[in-house]
Amino acid sequence: MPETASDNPLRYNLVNRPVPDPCIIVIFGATGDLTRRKLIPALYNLAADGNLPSSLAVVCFARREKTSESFREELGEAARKYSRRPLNDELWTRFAANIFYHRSSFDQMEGYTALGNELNAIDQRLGTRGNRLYYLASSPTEFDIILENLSASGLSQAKPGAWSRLIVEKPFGTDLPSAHRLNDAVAAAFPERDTFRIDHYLGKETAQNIMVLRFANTVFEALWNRRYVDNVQITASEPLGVESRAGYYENSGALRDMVQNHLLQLLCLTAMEPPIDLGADAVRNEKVKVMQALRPLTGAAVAENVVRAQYTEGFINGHEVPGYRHEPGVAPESMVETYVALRLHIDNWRWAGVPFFMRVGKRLPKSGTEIAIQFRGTPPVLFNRESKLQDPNVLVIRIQPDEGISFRMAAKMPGAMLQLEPVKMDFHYGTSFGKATPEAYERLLLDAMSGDATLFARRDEVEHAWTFIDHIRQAWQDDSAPRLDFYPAGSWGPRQADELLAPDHAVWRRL
Amino acid sequence: MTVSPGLAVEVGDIDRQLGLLWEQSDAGKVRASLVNLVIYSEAPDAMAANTPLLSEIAADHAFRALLVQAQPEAKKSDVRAWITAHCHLRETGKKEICSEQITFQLDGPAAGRLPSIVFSHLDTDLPLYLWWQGDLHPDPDPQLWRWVDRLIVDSNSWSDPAAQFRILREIQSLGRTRSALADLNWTRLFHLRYAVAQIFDLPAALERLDRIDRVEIVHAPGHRLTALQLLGWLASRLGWSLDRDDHAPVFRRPDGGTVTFQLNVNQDAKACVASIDIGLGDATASVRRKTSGEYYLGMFTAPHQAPFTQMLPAERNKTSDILLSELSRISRHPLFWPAIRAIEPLLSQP
Repeated sequence: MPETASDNPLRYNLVNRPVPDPCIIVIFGATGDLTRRKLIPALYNLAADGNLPSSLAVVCFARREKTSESFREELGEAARKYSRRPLNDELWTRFAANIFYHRSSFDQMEGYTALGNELNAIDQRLGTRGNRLYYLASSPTEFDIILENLSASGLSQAKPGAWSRLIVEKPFGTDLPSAHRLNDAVAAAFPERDTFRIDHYLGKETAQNIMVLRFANTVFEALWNRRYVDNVQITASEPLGVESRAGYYENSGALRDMVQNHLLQLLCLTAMEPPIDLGADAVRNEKVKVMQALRPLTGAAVAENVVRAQYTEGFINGHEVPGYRHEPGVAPESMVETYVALRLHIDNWRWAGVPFFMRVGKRLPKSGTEIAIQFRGTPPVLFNRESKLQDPNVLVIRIQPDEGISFRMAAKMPGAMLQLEPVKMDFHYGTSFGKATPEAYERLLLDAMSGDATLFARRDEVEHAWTFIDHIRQAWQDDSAPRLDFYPAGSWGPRQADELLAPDHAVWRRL
Repeated sequence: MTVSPGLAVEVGDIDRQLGLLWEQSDAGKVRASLVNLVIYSEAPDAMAANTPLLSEIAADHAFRALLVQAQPEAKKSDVRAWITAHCHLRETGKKEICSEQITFQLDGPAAGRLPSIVFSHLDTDLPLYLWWQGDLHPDPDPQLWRWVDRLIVDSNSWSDPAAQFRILREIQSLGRTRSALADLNWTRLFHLRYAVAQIFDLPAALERLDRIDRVEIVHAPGHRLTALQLLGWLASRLGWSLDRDDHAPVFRRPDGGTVTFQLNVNQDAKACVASIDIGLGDATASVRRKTSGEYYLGMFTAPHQAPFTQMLPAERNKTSDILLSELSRISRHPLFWPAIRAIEPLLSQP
């Protein structure tokens, strides 16, 4: 007798993705911003698109005194504000009816026992079949105790014929030892196959499109190597300052906040070999190989290949903005970097000798995340005989905003003179595909419910990334380390970052 | 209301005139195209009906449209052409996205030159989607059909569905292996089929799926064929075969059990299919279009079981939305012909 959605013959050829099983999502730290701004709007939009399983409940586990009714009202207001589509009152009411508030401290075992009873009762009432998706949306300092109690209460154990999964929000530790500790704590409660570490960059359509661009088109992959590529530039810039995150940022800095996760993930997708299939492990195996081939930066190599800087006062969009040290909550002598530029090398057959430049910064003139593949120039003959100033071909993958791909090439200007000008072929997602792009969290939640871990980071990926980052941080603590540089808000970063590219005869792209 | 197909141009001068159109447009506009969309119609109001429809579609799916209004019965052979563009601002601060429309009026013998007109004005390398409105012609011209990547029809507009499906099979046999078929009547059912399937993800419903004994579908006037296709989908997926019981058609399940069915018209129905009720012995599954229109309500009731309900998205009734849904699809419809075969003997019944 058929028992699961995949046995349903009426499902055939309706949607081209696995159908998620009925389940209960338990959000720890549910009163935080993430639930309000991202998770509940994402789940509502999945409901509106008909992508949720036939039965789904959300249990919000948090310390504050609230009732399910009052919390539903709060979430309703938030969903109305943050949902990408307008709220349909009836659909919201039906969806919200299955959101429950469970008040407990994270360290009280009785709270977990009561949670278990509540989950069993919901199973009986709604047919969620014992499937559980636990979401750690609390402060990272609470992860350990939550995991310990989930394990001790038996809630992390999958029931017979059901599954029990865990979603962990970044940061996955603050350095390698803490990542080890966190991963050990996770592993003590959940097997790796049931652990889903969210890096929302991987849920973005353009990030997913990197593999499509490379492996579904003949032309690019043939050129995607050291013979044709001169350098690769990965940029994540934002005009915003530290805003309300000073407390977090003072302990993190740009290197740990952005490079360890988002940018190294983009690097892996750009540099990896074709996986043997599109399964989670095949893709993640190839990403790990890139991390393994990434040349470690230690000691003096850090000074030669990494620039760190902090913004001072300046102008963004014509408005005067304070320097980082004058932001609320920031120490007046803070040495935290708000900008990092790195020169990386991947020591494998495909990429040997090709520098990968990476930069991330706050208070830069423009918001944008992109990967630029800069190809080698033409030989100094024919059109390039007199001058080497001809712009080389560049393929740019824009991750956000204005998601798309562009390619720069040379063309002859009309007229009797032989003059070449760079022209751009441009593909914009928004131009070609009018329909709204789902939020990254929609895709990632759906994948976690369906058990597809392809877009989530695996333990070894995270630990390799921390190993790499920790070496740089250790070198920065050395007395002989280069000092922190400064750049005015609204500029494209410190002069030293430009000098970083000079030995390779490269320059940063202007976004 | 008169709808202008745009600037009248000489047929031999279309490319140059389109070039001029873009040269003269302001810098805030960009031309885009994902597909060549050819619409062929012999309806006298084809231009007026399709131009606003193309404008709506252009907001979401860029194209080069070739709208062909043909009058094969006209005595004088004549070809006239117009060009226009549909521009939409999708995001504040961004450029307007524009799709081109070339409109042709083909009269008399010129109507037979459709392949020549179409092939001269396609955007190179982009797929060719042909939406043939109304009845298909017998003896299809292989010169045209071999190059069509996706043929779009709407079986609900056919005067004789049984005969038209025969022609459609013949056309498909002429197509290259990559050509695909889309019946908008089948596309209309996508969300309804999805909602029905979703109910049977419930274990209590799924275990009763092979015990369906009754299907009742309520449809709007003029949508019997839509309701039949829904019935055909169920029958083909569940292995039912058509039979007669006391002179009334019924389906036989693989276990020999009988499935009775009724197709009822509701004069007030807002959607082409307003509801489907499925009897499963002691249980009932149903999907009804909500009065608000945007959603279906799926329900399942069984003894000793709390009633289940779920809201699921419904297709919009507008033709532009149905067509958009088809334009965004890259896959084929492998369940379409099995569904048609399952209800074929019922096609010619009133």
